[in-house]
Formats: sequence, structure tokens, C-alpha cells
Amino acid sequence: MSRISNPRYVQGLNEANDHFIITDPGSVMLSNHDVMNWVQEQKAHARQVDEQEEREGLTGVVSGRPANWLHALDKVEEYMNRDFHPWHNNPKYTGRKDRNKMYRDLMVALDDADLELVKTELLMLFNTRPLTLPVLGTIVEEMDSRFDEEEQLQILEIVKNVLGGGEEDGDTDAVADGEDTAAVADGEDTAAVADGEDMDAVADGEGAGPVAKEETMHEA
Amino acid sequence: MFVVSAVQDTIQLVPQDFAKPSVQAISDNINAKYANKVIHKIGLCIGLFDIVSTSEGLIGNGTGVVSAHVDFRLVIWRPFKGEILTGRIERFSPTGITLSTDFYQDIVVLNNMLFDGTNYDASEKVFVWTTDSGTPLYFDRHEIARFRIEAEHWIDMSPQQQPGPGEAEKEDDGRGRSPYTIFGSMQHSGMGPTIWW
Repeated sequence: MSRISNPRYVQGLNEANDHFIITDPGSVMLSNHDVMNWVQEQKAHARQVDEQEEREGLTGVVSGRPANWLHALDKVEEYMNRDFHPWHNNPKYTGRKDRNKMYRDLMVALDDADLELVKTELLMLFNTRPLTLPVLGTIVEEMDSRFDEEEQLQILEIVKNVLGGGEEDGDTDAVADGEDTAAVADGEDTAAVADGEDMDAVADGEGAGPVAKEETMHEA
Repeated sequence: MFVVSAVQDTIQLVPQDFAKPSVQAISDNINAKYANKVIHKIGLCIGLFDIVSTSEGLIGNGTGVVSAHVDFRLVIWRPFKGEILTGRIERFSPTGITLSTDFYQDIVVLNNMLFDGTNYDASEKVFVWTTDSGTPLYFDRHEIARFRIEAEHWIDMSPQQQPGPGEAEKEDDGRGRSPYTIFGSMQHSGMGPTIWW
């Protein structure tokens, strides 16, 4: 087994000449699905930039996309392509217009049924999509004391309805792209959306790629 | 599993890269510096998420290098304690099982964090769980398994923290020192190879 993808070098903190400062260690969480989409977008954008540089004759003149970054993206994509993820063979995941709709639907459905789950449990439900009670029991701590069996089965039912039930052919009533976004406030989702204004100092009008996007994410 | 961390750093652009749009040059620079690397006590950085702001570029003396203070965010992989992850069993040793998530290989489940009744079979070099009913269940290599995150272990790899010439290494378990090791457990029902449940 190759260890090449195993990261070894570590960025040292507080080195004398380094101005490296962590301003937020990680309060905003992303779901696996968010990251999978992000990786695909990054790779697509990288290809675009490579082609653009080739057209301008800059390949080999300027430094291209860093190899370690491309390697990391490839490896994460490899992980995300494994078949245990809920989006594998699952038509409910085809809607791209509103990516957070399913997460919100899950949250709302559980709320409506008065099933209280902590935010991390909700995220894990979304990431792993349990279909059986033992697996649900790994995610929900002290499940037997918080929910009786009927409620536990209810959670599984909701998960199956919102995230898909795991059948190969999937549900035929494929979710339409965001047309019936329930009137759930968008405010609860928009976590730290980065400022687009500050980019004016640097942007040469290209403004593509990693420039602050209006990307909604799951709050921590 | 993944979080977004905000960082401030000084980015230096070399004159060869001036032909690139500034955004692209800064992004490539940040990705080259951070991607696929472990930041001590923060996690494994996958890549740049976005640039929040940058200062004006300043040219220092001596070289044509442009320095800019950049505020940006990174996509970091750092599972939280109690999180349930799915990964692949990579190898066994008498002390435990090592799992990986393709982009990260240092997840260790020590033998005391496995189901009661799990033993290491030295002849086949696998772990076997003998259930109450007596059936032996094997943890097979390359099997996809669910596990719970219990603890993380950081080793500061920065040059100042390394042992001097002639000094012994502070920690060495024979496996090589990893900057970020995650300890997990497979003790609860629903854990272990996914085909079991």
C-alpha cells in the first residue's frame, strides 16, 4: 500500500518569520456531499485554467496547478466515489440547483415529528444515511433512552423518504430541482459567506474559481 | 468530517507568475503551501476554499517578489470525537487495526477498542470476533468498516520540535511518526465491517 498520499510535512505555528495565524480553527462544518461537489468543481476549474494558460502560451512559463493539491483532490474524490455513500445510485441526489434542500428537508421533517437530534447527529444522518436500527444506534447516542422503538423507526422512515431508500433503481418520483423549496428561512443556513467586495483589490476581472462564492454551508 | 478554517498568511508571488491573474496566482500559492498537509492541531488541509480578503502587494528589496497579507479559508478534514466514519481496513498488527479513508491512512483502532471477545489470530494475521453464539466473525483486509472516533494524537513536526543530532526521538512506535493520528473504536453494535449489519 502506497504511503505517498500520507501527508507528512506540517506547517509549524508561531515560527519566527511566519505570519501564519489561524483566525478560526473550524467552526463551520461541511457535509460529505458539500465536499464532493466542491472537489468536482475545483477539478473542473483547474482544467479550465490549464486550458486557458495553454491558449495563452503560459504553460511552463508560470507555475501550474500544484501537484499536492491535485493529488489531495483526487484522493478525496476516490473516497467520495465509493459505493457506501448515500448519493451512489440515488436519483434523489440529482438536483443541483439547491444543494442544501435535502439537508433542510431532513431537518424540517425531524422537527415536525418532534424528534430532537443534536446538530452533529443530523450531520451524521445526512452523511451516512442509516437504513437499519443498529446503524442508527451508532449515530444517535443513548438512542434507547431518548426514543422508543416507534420513534426510532420513524427516524429511519424520515431518512428513507428524504434521502432515498437505497434501492438500485431508486424512487421514480425524483425530487424536482428546488421548485418547492419549503419556506424555510435561508438565514439559518448561510454561515460565514465570505465578502465578495474585498476581492476588488486583487481581481483582474477574471473573478473565477476560489473567489468568495455565494456558497451556503451548514452552520456549526 | 470536514470543516472550514480561516487563516491569515503572507503569500509571496514570484515574478514568473505575474502573467497569471492575481487571484489564480494567490490560489495556486496557497494550495501549494497547504494542500495535502497536516496543520498542527487543526487537521488535514485539502485545499483552498475561498479568499476572504487580501492586502495590496508589496515588493521587497533584493528580489522582485510581491508579498501580500491574505485572509483565506481552507477545507480541513478533522473528524470530531464521537463521529461515525466509514473507511477501509488496511492492515493488522497485534496491537490493532489500521484503517484508511483513501486520502488519509492513519486511523488506528487498538485491540482494546474492539468488541469484547475479539482476538488476534497470529497465523492468519487477522482479528476475529467470537460472538456470544460462538460464530467467528472476521475483520477482513480491504473490508469497508464503520468506526467511531475516540481520540486524536498530534505530533508537532516543525523543525524546532525535532530531536537534535544524537538525541533520541521522543516517540517511536516503530510505525513512523505521523503528525496526526486518529484513534477509533469498533465496540458498539452497527460498527465494524458494514456487511455484518
